[in-house]
Amino acid sequence: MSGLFDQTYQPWTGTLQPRPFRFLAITWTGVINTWRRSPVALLICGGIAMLFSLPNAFIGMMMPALSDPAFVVSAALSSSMTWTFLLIMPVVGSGLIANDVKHNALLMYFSKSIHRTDYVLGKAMTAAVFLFLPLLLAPMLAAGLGLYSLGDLATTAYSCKLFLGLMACAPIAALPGIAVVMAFSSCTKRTFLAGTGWVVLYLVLESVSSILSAAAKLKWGYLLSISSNVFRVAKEILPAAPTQMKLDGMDEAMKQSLETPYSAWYSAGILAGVFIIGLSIVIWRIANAERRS
Amino acid sequence: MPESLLAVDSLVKTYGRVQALQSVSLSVAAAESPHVAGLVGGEDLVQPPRARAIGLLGPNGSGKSTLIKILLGLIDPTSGRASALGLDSRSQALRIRQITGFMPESDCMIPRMNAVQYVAFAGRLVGMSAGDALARSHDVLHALDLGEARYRDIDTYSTGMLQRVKLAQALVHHPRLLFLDEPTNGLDPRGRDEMLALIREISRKKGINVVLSSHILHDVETVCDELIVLHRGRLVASGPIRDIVGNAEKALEIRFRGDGIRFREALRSLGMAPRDTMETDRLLIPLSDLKETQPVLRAAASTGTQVRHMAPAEKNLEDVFAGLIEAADK
Repeated sequence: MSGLFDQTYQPWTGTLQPRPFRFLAITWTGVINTWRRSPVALLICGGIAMLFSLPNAFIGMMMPALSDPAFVVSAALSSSMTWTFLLIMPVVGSGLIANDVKHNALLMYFSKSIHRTDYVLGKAMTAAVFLFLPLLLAPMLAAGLGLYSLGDLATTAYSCKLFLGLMACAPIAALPGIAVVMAFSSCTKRTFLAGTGWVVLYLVLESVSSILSAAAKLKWGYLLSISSNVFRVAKEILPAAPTQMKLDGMDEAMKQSLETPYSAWYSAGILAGVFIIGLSIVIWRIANAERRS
Repeated sequence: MPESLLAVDSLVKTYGRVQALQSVSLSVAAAESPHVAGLVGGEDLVQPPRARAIGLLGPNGSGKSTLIKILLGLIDPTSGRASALGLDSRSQALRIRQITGFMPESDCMIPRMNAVQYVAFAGRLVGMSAGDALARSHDVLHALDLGEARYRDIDTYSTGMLQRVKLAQALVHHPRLLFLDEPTNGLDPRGRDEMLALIREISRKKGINVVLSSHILHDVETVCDELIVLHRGRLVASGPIRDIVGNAEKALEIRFRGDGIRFREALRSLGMAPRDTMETDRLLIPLSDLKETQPVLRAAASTGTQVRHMAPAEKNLEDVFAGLIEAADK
């Protein structure tokens, strides 16, 4: 006979949910834990990133030569990406895997019915949640202001396309960086090293790209820069403004200076390559860490 | 015919040059299904499902953890096959991990979480809904006597509490088979007894099969009724503890005073193989006929050793285990 109040162990007979819910659980827990770990750093870095990227959007709007909204928005996206990557990415991404390796938590994760890809996907989504808002705020403002300054907000179809295009650009901008920072995070237990490694790599690539392109007049150098590649792809994805919306057209000299000798597919390929290589390193490192634990 | 609980066939696992498992083969059948024992007040009186408690015994580095990880599909064997609950560890690893629980030896905590969140998260990783996982987390933590402390950060827990949380995360989805890797590590005697009592109750009263990996004989003896003994990656013995102990060779127990080294040498020169025990003045001498004590007394006399006690040794797991390990070393 069972007691009226029995707190001893009782069997459970519920139903289990399909696999996608498991990586969503990893994302949700990751977001909460990242926020708990460093709320002040996140607020400060997020604030600074937005502060630095917003003026770029406004300056873009002031230049009549850049009056094509798609161009302005692409430029704003690549600019906000730089600040987001330099300030928020190290805080969020450095501990994503390093903390689990440090505390042996990988063994808990993988003793449940999840695959490595569920884990990696869940962690990548965690970073994306923190990156998307600051990444999109400046270009969204630029798009809104741009349409407003063109005095043609009534062209709602174009506005919608522009905003949708921008939403599509966000993962293209964020995912390669997330993969690389996760690769750093999986290579060390020290979050500081992972964050610093990412920042140094990003700055080196951007600097070398600028030097090659500007000083050595080597336009292919832009391919080394993640933000330039995002800019190049975004320009293709974002819808071109209808003719009547363009005011003066772009200044020819500036147009030429911004043109690249390669197609957007090269940039897309490089971003995809960075993403795949980053994730491969993550999965390889996780498999190693699993074996050691 | 009962399904197979664990089955391992010619299992080999190497890490570089180190052979963690060397052609291990074994099979453990699941206990018979529960049956209706009778009718009480018009309702079926169903006995709790029967479960097995299997001790995975061996010194440190004998391959116990490797075997568990292969059975869970966490690592692939170099060659051979392994299955748990009739599911292949290579091709059905996710399914195995859905119906089994694993309490690892090392701490596997996520900092800045309290026990309720941690155990609920473990439940969600198995596929429980958020609501179910949270409710179940409270229930399991209560059952494991962590009800009062369940909202505290795991970082502040004592070793004993951490062990219970690890057990809770393994139990949250009510697995059919529970792998426990050194569950009493770091516990004081009282904590150890409490943990063993918990595991015994889970196995005997709640119908969850348990594989308890340990290098501590007392733990295995307290909880388990079957044994798998590994040494240096080889299977030394497997089967019911009663049978393993019962089948052990007969031995003479000697307590002596004098030069132990010379006494042992004298025994060996007479063709005997004295075995050391935990006590320095106690020896076990395997003999086919326990009445043949004359050679022992001769060895004692020749070395000036005083024999203070001589009797057929009472078979216990400790001595049997020592004998098995010694025989495997030879």
